[in-house]
Amino acid sequence: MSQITANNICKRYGDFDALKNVNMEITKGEFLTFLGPSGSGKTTLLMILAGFTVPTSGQLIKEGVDISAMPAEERNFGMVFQGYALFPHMTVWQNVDYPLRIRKVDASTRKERVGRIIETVGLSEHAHKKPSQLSGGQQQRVALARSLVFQPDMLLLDEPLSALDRNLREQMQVELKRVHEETGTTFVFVTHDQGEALALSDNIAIFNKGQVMQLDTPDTIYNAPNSRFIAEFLGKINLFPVSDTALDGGVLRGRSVDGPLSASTGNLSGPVSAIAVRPENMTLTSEKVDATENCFKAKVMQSTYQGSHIDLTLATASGQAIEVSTHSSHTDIDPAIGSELWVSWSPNDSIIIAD
Amino acid sequence: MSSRINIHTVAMWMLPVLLLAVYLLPLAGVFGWSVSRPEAGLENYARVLTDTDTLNILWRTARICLTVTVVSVMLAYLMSYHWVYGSPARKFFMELCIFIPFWISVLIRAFGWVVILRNKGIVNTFLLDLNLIAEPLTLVRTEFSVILGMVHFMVPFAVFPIAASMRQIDARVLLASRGMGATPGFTFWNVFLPLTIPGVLASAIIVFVFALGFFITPAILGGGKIVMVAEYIYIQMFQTANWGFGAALSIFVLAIVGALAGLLFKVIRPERLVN
Ligand SMILES: Nc1ncnc2c1ncn2[C@@H]1O[C@H](COP(=O)(O)OP(=O)(O)OP(=O)(O)O)[C@@H](O)[C@H]1O
Ligand SMILES: [Mg+2]
Repeated sequence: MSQITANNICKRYGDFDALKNVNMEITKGEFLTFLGPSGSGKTTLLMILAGFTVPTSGQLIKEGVDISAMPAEERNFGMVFQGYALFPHMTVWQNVDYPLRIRKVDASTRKERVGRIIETVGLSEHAHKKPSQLSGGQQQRVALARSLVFQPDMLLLDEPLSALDRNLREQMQVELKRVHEETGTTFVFVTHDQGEALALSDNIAIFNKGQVMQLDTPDTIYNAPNSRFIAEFLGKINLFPVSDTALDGGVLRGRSVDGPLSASTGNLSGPVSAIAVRPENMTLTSEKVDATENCFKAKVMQSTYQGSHIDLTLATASGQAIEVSTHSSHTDIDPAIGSELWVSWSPNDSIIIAD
Repeated sequence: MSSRINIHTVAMWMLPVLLLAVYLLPLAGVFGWSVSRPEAGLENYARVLTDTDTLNILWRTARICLTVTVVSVMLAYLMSYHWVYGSPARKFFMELCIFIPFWISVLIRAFGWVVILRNKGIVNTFLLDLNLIAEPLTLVRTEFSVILGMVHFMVPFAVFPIAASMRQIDARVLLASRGMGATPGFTFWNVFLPLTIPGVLASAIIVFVFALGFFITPAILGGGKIVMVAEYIYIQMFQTANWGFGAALSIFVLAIVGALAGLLFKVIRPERLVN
């Protein structure tokens, strides 16, 4: 069920388009992530959802009503700001109590709800402290508790984890996911971190230059990017420009400078400019495999041991650099620098790039 | 190398030595007078706390200083708000209002008010011409004119600590409050005002201490009728030659100023206002 629908939202600052014709449906209860380069308009759209910014044109529809001009204070959305925006002169308890005081909830209900949410985020022992006496992770939890305590219709989070170190961030990701499942609130989450986006989201919207390039499940975005931008933006990928493409019974064939390539097609339409493949889907062998396509020789240029796997950079005969990620336990290859290996992959792992 | 150390050493000692020479030594002298003239003992201090005229003047001084403080801080709060959050045009206008008074001597400003307020001044002429009053109002040589002149002088000073504390407020905190559904009034009383209280207190103490030592403005606008403690000390020292009593009064006022300054540093931690 769609909770909010964005119709052709545009936001203009002077003659600069911060958002261009954004269309999006936000489903009740989902965890939706905005991911994209810096300056791509993620915060701008979040602020429009929150009601702090009014779009230049377009509508925001909630239950059939255009709410794009409705002020923030009437929307009943929770928001976690980057830097948390806690009230520095109030204790943890008072911070969390604040939205309930605004709503004139009676004292005993307030006490019960604040106590419960503070316990949910694991801060019971710190309830009497001021924000300045808390660690970054604890402050983040206060912000989360404060924005959830009044049971908002939607929770908007602008890079809430970006200030935390890696370990704490992973811990808080688990926590966020748990709180999302426990409360059933719709989460709209902005991040720079691809891993975070893939791990947490039901859906990801990828932003670029004020446009939403693709909105899909993490799996679809990673394995079936709809454009070159998405393919290159999310994770590592090897792109091979192809020519003379031809469709042949569910298989697309084409020629690259390093040899013939093929890809299983889903529901392909339109032109094809390249075939791409993820590093972890490529196989390295010392002898040529029994295949005529998606298979060629390459020379090891660089090798980085990563524990569970090895990242290799190789150069094809034409000189194109490719990245391959292989299991450390693979023993039949010698990834020494300068050695020549065969690279291959299944047509099922080929990604077709249109533009 | 050694010459540099010497320069540093000299520079380092300069301030304490200057302080000692031009401040502490004379102060010690004043204190000496207060317990030795006309004869040794605490007679002068007893008089400060019992003499009716003196107590009246101290009470009037306290009353005027408090009024000036409250009015100045409230005006400064409004001006700071417009200075910090106003449109560029309004900011510029506020800057003019705040900085231009610094270039005009306190003497000229006091006489300016006399011109405006005296019996044949602008205000009275205007009101008489409109037939709103039959007789000119007595506006100069009243507590009102003294307070007006002092507030006019103090407001720009009161603006700075308040504006600094407003600048320190993270705009996102105010957005957060709105986002949770708070009305502007609720946000002001529960978030904005509490966060600016340190600036308000700093400003209030600065104004109060300044006002306590005010001389020229009360002398001109009070015209000898509204005497405040600074002018009273001057009279004791230079007109009636009550050196010891004048000195005791000075030390008494200084002790109050010192206590307030101590409070300022303790409660507000002024270093926080600087950055
Ligand atoms: N008030 C404003 N006035 C002018 N330009 C603005 C304003 N707010 C945002 N912009 C511009 O709009 C563009 C999008 O900004 P936005 O903050 O949405 O980016 P973002 O995707 O959140 O980036 P980041 O990941 O760095 O936070 C930027 O180029 C920014 O400079
Ligand atoms: Mg942003």
